[in-house]
Parts: sequence; structure tokens; C-alpha cells
Amino acid sequence: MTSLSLLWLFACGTPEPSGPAPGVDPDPVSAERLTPVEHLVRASMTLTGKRPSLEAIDRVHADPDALGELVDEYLTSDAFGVTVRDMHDEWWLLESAYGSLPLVGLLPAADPARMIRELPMQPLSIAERVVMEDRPYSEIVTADWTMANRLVSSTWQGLDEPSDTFVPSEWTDGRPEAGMLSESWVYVAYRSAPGNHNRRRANAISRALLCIDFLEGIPIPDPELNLDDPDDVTDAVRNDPACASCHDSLDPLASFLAMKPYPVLTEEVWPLAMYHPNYEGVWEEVDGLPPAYFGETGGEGIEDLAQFIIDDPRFRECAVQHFVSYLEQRPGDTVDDGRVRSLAATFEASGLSARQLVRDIVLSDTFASLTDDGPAPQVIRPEHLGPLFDDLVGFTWSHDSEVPCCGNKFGSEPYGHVPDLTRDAYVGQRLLMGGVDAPLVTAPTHSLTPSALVTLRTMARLAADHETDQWSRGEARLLTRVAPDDPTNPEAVRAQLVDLHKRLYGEVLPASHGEIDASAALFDQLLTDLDDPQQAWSMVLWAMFQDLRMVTY
Amino acid sequence: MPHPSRRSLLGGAASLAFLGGLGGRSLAATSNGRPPRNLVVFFAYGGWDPALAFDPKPDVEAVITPPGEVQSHHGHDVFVLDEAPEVGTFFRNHGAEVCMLRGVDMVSISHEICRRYALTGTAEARKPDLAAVVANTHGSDRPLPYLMVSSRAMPGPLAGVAGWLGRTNQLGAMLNPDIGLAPLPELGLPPEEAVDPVAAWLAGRHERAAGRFTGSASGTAMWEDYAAGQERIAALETHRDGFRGLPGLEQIDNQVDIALHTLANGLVRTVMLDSDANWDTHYDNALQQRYYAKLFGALDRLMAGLQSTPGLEEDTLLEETVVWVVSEMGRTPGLNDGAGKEHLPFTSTLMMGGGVKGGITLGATTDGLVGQRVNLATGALDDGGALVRPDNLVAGVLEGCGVSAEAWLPNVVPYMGPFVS
Repeated sequence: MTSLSLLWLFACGTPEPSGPAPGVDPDPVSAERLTPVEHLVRASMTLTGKRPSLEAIDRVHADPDALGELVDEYLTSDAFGVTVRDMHDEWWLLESAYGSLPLVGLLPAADPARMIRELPMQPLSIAERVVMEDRPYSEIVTADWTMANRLVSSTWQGLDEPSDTFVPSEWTDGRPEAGMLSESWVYVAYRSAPGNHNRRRANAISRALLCIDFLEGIPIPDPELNLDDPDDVTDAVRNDPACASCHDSLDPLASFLAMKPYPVLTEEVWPLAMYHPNYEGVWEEVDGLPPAYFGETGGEGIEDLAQFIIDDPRFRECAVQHFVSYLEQRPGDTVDDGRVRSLAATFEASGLSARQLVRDIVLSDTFASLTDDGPAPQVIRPEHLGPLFDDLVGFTWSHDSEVPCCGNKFGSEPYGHVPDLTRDAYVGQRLLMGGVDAPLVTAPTHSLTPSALVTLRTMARLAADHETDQWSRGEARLLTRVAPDDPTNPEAVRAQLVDLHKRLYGEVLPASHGEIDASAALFDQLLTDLDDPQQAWSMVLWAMFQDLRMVTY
Repeated sequence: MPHPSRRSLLGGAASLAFLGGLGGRSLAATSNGRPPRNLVVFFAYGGWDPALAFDPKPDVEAVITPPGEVQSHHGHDVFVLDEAPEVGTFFRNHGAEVCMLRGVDMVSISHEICRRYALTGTAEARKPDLAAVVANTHGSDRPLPYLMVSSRAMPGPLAGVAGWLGRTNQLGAMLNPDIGLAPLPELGLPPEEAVDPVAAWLAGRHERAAGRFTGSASGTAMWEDYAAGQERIAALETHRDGFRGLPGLEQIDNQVDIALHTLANGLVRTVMLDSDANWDTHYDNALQQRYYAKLFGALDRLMAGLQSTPGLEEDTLLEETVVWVVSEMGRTPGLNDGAGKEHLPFTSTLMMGGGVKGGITLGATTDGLVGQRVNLATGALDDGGALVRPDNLVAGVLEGCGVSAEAWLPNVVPYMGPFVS
């Protein structure tokens, strides 16, 4: 224990409740494994960002086998669809790429915040549909459809069927149909200078789909190499063994790609053209290196590239690595190889059902382990803070920002409306909570940083005030056991606290439990000190929303 | 409702005990001669062109620059662009405190790999950057040891000592809910009477939850981080005034003001700032004129502020602070077809502050801007020496800040040339 934590604990002079520790069913528990209810909480938070309902907790408490059914329910929920987008963003790094926005001003009726929010959603929505409709996961790179809403249809040439929400659509500009590989935003987010011949894009695709990041093994260039001379560079890339060891694979991958090289779009108007048939085969002009997939030839465009990828066992193993990494909040390269191979075999046997793969991971013993074999305690993700409090009390933290954004790319245009600040990396709390901000912050922190805890503390205040305000109007979501006109009834207070401990922490406790005693004592003291039942309840909720068991699961 | 101005999450006794160890003007000065324990890293992402400021090659035809002239200030020959006179102003004002390093080999021409090397001294993605390491070593007496203003920061496993400010000072807004800073709605501080009971309840819950966390190393770390985090919140709330009214990050000068303010008030040990420009000028290298003008204007402001502000441990803030100005790579001598320049692993960098040799330029480059070998102990050119690489630089800065580099970068020779022995 750190000296700071010792001081904190020593100083606070805590009461000593009787009974099991917080978060533990009264039933005997294992020190090495989550209880069924704890497992439910971890699964629910991981898949949906929401705490399980009281009913779900009761079901699992009464029958641990009900966990599987509830996980199945989560896997078909809209909230899981959002999580699918989030997890794919974690390995594709497409969201929040405000530095990538085309330099052509704002779309009519759009603000920067909306463009930053919705444009990356197009490729990520393909992954969402594949998983939510339980299509073979290979469709993320083979789908002959895309997803579009009104904003993206206005942004890119070759899309129609505008709708306010994302719906299935099709590219009509003749581009090859290859799921996420066909999406304009992918190529804008990963711009590639002409001199780099699509290598950055190829590496992004390789990293996301094969878990091969060519940058990780990049050698030290020969100091004598004249990087000013394209011919010398090409010669080194082809003939220097240190360079060629990567470029022999990377460059032919890049030759499959055929989108506008580097969209400097100052002269263009909406909608933007990112694809033109003339870009097909552009490799012949830039480096003369024909497409090949790690030495295998025989393909031309992204449809062929997609076929190579889905035939590659590394695609399945990489998907497994990514899913485990996201669901267990651990770096992908730390996932045990044997576990990856085993899950990949099951994944293949299921017809590449990502939903089944997620189910297998979430219901596994490893996922529920409390030892070093299992994941660390999960830290609430910034993207889940909004859904969590929206679900609990109906509060969302929105904001209309007047701050100009994106390096004055849009002049003095204000950033605009942000419906959920906890998801926003520019003016919101996403970075402060440890989230990604592609391409600047490329990996989540999963740590209880001071700025993360300050964010949680603030969100807890906002949500607590919101709930007690609703409660005073008879519209409470959590405070349903105590009546606004009799807010201090001792039995109702205890019943309320029992519900709160169950709903917020998954603690199934009798009203006489020491933890309830401690929480009741907190309420009594706050009531005495504040002489205001509504404020006392607000502060109780504020405390409970900040608890270690709310931050971790 | 009265609100406490120095109230913390902790109980009163704990607050007093903890605050007694915090920085602030009331702190007794440390003994002279101790290495500086503050660090400011000014990071310029994208790869600047050293020939446009640090490493003039006026007689080399292959080195293409916009119009400008070579000026000499305090032992430094620098190129002062017509469009960026701030470069000359900076060296004229502060060159005596500046150690300029030329020909540093950043090892790669990949932005991400170079960034990792430059900030952590390794190519590994999960290593902490040097500012996190210094903060972790010296920052226990600061409410927020490492303030991350730049989103290029890489706190890694030391994230527990680090906090993001946020582009619009979201951190300050959340610490000061009583003044309605955007994006926070009018909220007000929590009732004073509620703070201690809530803290006590949270601490009790934390203590009793130990059994469900301490069965694994990662769980134990998480459990401890939570307690330490609550400590930090308490300290931050005690010093909330220090984060009130900080400017947003739209202007680079604002970042400088934030660094000066937080260092001067003992709020932080280390800060990472950002040049707020993308130096990756493949298309129009002339853009770097504007970037250099902004950067050196900000550096002038930073140095003036550090020199004129009394330190907490030494006479001036500059004496107790090391400043490192770095970009992750350089750019080629000539222009490409798009009037831009491509990546070059060799670059130049600046160091200033406590323990740093001033008025000296170390290292050199060839006409092709390729770095030359130096003696890593002294910085003198030495054909039998070594190229200065990021691991040597990071280890040197750590040592310069009184941190044992060996513990973080084993077997790396620190580059001590810039530091007074």
C-alpha cells in the first residue's frame, strides 16, 4: 500500500461494519474467482456500459446459470452495438480524428462536433451491423453494402438514400465492395503522402486486421542514405535487407489500395470524391510494385486483398486477440497464445460469429478470475460513463461549445453541440478519463488517474443532483423506496439503501448487513448536518457513485 | 451556503497532515546544489526542419531554406528566417541559458516510433515518458505531479501521477464547479458539511473491499491507485484556485502561462507542452516559418517567466526546472516535388534551465545534415564517440533531474554533455 493510501485510510476513521466485504454475496465466496453476481456486473458493464438491473441480479443470485441467458440479452441490445463500434475504433483508431477532417469548410447545417462524431461512424457501423446481425465476421471486409446517414451522404460522392440514422446503403461510384476497406473515411483518417505510396494505409489495415504493425520492427536507417533522393530511397527499400524485410511485404499490400492519395481538399466542394476508377492500378505509376499478399500474387484491388485477408489464419487470431484485449482491458500482445489459438478454432467453427466469440470470452473462467491469470479489475471506460448514468438516472452531460476547433480549420466556427461530453475528446472528458484520441492518443489508459477520478467525481455530482431533483418531482429512477414526503422513514431508508447497494455494486445484502449500517449512518449524519433530506440523499448518491465498486468491476 | 476554500476530501487532520507536505510558497527552500526536480517538455510533433533555425547551412546549396540570415547570439549560430524574427529574439534574450544540440539521431523516420523514442528513450509502446518518470520520482509533494497539456504525452504505467488538463481546461472546470466554467453547468461546490462524512464512507468502503482486489498484483495496484487518487483529488481540491481561470489551449502562449502558473504555485512537478502545430510538412515546408515564429515566441515567454519567477526551492523557477524542447525527427535538406521536405532521422534540440550548460552548441552535422559522433560524457565532437540517440538524451535528462536513469533505461549511457558536471 502506498503511504498516501495509508494516510487516507488512517485519517478517515471508518466505521467497522459487520458481515462480508462490499461486493460480496452473503454466500461463501472464492478469493480466486468472481461470484456469479460479480461476474454479471463485469459482463454487463463490459458489454453495455450499464449496471445490471435489479431483476437481473436477483435472477443470477438465485440461479447462477441464468448468467448465460442474460449475457445473450446484452449481446442483442442496442448498447452492445455501440460497444461494438467502440471496440473496433480501439483497433482501427478512426474516431476523434479531427486533424483529418477535409479542409473544405463545414457541411451545410453541420457543426465541427457533428462531423467529427458522425463521419467515423460510417465504417464502424459496418462492424456494428456485422456483429449485431451475427453475420460472418469476414463481412467487415467483404460486405457489398455500406452504412450511411444524411451527413455522410452529403459528405462523400457516391452515396444516396439519405436518412437521419445510419441505415444500409451502397456506394454508387463504382468502387470495389469490400466492407470497411471501401470506406472513404478510413483513407482520410489514414492519409498517405504520394511519396509514401499508401504505406500508412496498408499498415493501418494490417495492424487492424492481422495484428501486424510494420512500424514495430522498423530498423534504424543507414545514416549515409540520402533520404532526399527518391531513387536512393527506392533502392534502399528494395535492396537494403534491413529495409526490404518489411517493405517487401508492406509495399505490395499498399499496391492493392486505390483511393485519392492525400486529400488536400481546399479546392473542392461537397460532396467529396475519394474514389475514381483511375486510381485503380496507380501502383504502376508510383513504384511499379504489383499487389501481392505476403508474397502471394494473383490479385489486384481491395476485393482481392479482402479475400487474401479472410483466408489468412492470422485474421481470425487477430480478431480474437482484439476482442480479448478490449473485453478484458489488456494489451493484445499480452493475451496468451494458446488461448488465442483455442478461441480462434472455436471462432472458425462457429462460422466466424463474433457474437459467439464475445460470449465465449465473457463467460470464460479467465474473464471471471481474480488472480493474476485473469484480467485486472476493469476500469470504467470513458465511453461508458454516459450510458451508465443515463441508464441509472436519465442524466447525460451535453454541452454547446463556442470554442473554435481543429486548428482554426473552420475559422471561428464554434465546435458546436456535444450530446455526450464523456465521449468527446476535444472539449469533453474522454482524454481525461483515459480514452483514445486518434491519432494522438492511440491506446486507452485503463488507470485510475487523478483526472479520471475528478471526472467521475464531477459526473457523480451531476447525476446525483439530477436524480434528487427528479425524485422531488416524483420521477425518480433510483430513489424509489423513499417517498419525497416521508424521506427519512428508517425502514424505507434501509430498503432504499439495500436497493442501491444491489443496483450500483451488485451487492445482495440484507437490511441488517453492516454495509447497510454504514450507509444508513452516512445518511443520518448528512441529514443531521445538512438538515435537508433532498440534499442528504443527493450527497449519499454522490458518495455511492464514486465508490471503488462503481469505478471498477 | 459557505464553501471551503481549502477543504479537501480528507478529514481535517488528514488534510493538514497532507498539505504540510505539499508544494507552495510556504515550503521551505531546498538546499542549493540539488539537481532541479521540475521538468518542462515542449514537444513539436511532425518533425521540424533544423536548417530553418538551429542548424544553418547557408553555404550548402542542397539545403533549401526560405529567406533569412545567420545570426550569432551568445555562442550560438542560428538561422533567423525573415518570417520568424522570434528565433533571433529568443537567442538574443536567452541564448546564454541555452544548450543547443545538433545532429541528434532519432533513430527512425516513423513519427510514432520516433515519438516513443524521443519521449521514453525506447521504442516500446507502454513505457512511461520522461516527464512521468520525473514526476513519479519527485512529485509526491505535488497535488498533480505530471500535468499533461500536450496530448502527445505517454504516461503509460505511471498514469496514476498524471492528469490531462483538457483543451478547454476541463480539469479546472471540474475542480471549480462553483464558477460555472464550461463545460460544466452551474453546480456549486458540495456542501461543506458533507465532504468529510462522504470521504470517511468512501475510505471505509475502500478498506473493506481489499479482499476482492488484492488477490492479484494488478488488483492490488488498482486498489492502491484508487486510494492514492482520492488523495490527489483532495490535494487538487485544496488547490483548486490554482486551476481556476486558466486559459484554453487555443494559443501556444496560454500553454506557457499554464506551465508557469502551475510550477510557480507548487501544483505540478512536470509539464508537457505542445507546439500546437503539425510540423509534418511534406507539402509546403514554408509553413514551418510560421511554426518557428510561434514556437520561439512562446519559448521567449517561457524563459522570461522562469527567470523572473521566484522558485520554491531555488532563487528562480528556472534554476529548479529543466526545459527540453524537442521534435521527434528532422527533415531532409532539399525540397520534394511538392515544395515539402521528407523525414530525416537527424535533428536538433534545445535544453535550458537548472544544471544545464548555457551559451553552448554541442554536436554537428554534415552538409547533408547527418549527425556527427560525440563524447557522451562531455558533448565534444569525437570520431571515436557515439551518435547521440534518444535513449542517451532521455537518460541524460533524467539524470539532470536527479533521477537514476539506470532504473528506467538499463545499460543506456546518459548523454551528460548538456549538463554541468
